[in-house]
Amino acid sequence: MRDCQDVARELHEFLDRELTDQEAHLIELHLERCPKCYQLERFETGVIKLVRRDCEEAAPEHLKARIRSMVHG
Amino acid sequence: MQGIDRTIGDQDEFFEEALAHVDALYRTALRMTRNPADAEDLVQEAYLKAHRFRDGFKPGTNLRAWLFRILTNTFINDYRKRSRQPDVTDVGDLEEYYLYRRIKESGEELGTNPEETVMNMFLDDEVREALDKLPDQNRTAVLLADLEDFSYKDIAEITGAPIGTVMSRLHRGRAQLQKNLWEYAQSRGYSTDKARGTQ
Repeated sequence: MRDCQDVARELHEFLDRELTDQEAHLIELHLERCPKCYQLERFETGVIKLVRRDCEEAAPEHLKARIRSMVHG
Repeated sequence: MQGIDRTIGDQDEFFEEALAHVDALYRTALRMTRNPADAEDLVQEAYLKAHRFRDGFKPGTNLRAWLFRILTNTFINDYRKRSRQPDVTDVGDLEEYYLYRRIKESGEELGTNPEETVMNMFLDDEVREALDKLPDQNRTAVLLADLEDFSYKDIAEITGAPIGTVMSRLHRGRAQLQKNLWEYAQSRGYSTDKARGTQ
């Protein structure tokens, strides 16, 4: 069994998929029946996703061309 | 990823495979250096080293992680040392779940979809600026985990730090990021009602 304190302590490792399957399963069981922890889990997921959403950026074409010519040229 | 035999004929193939990761290296470099010209130089330098030291890559291992290790080393050893921008001081440990707790204290509701609510709460510029204000080591840990989705073990290998150190940098970096975001929210007179676009 996992209580709210355990979840608070292990949540980021859970979200980062760093827990063992068994540990993760125990967290999931708690989240299923604890609306407060579930809300925190959803919130933290959103914050982590913000980084990905706002830092997407393709490399400029001229950079790729420069790297190719540097190596092959 | 398949291993690559580095016979002469395969050299282009190796390099093209490495170049397939250029977008990921660039977006991370951009947030490491915080400006496009430096990011381009950093990525170019990393590819030059990857080309020069290609024999150091073990076929069958993670090429993407290997390239990020070169990028990160280049950032720390070359770029950082000649940079005129001093690194930010680490503020140390902050309260966990900083943003969540501040919002709850303010009496705001997160609605039925807290993930969407928090994502709608911040503009893309704010998130990038909040990241830019983190000390280098913590920012690098956050970028490698949250932007590039590397495991703690990979991040430890990429940055040359023990896993415990990686976890503490990531932990601090995320808390500082949340603190910075909370400051933006407050300066805008934050409310989740506005964020949801209702009322």
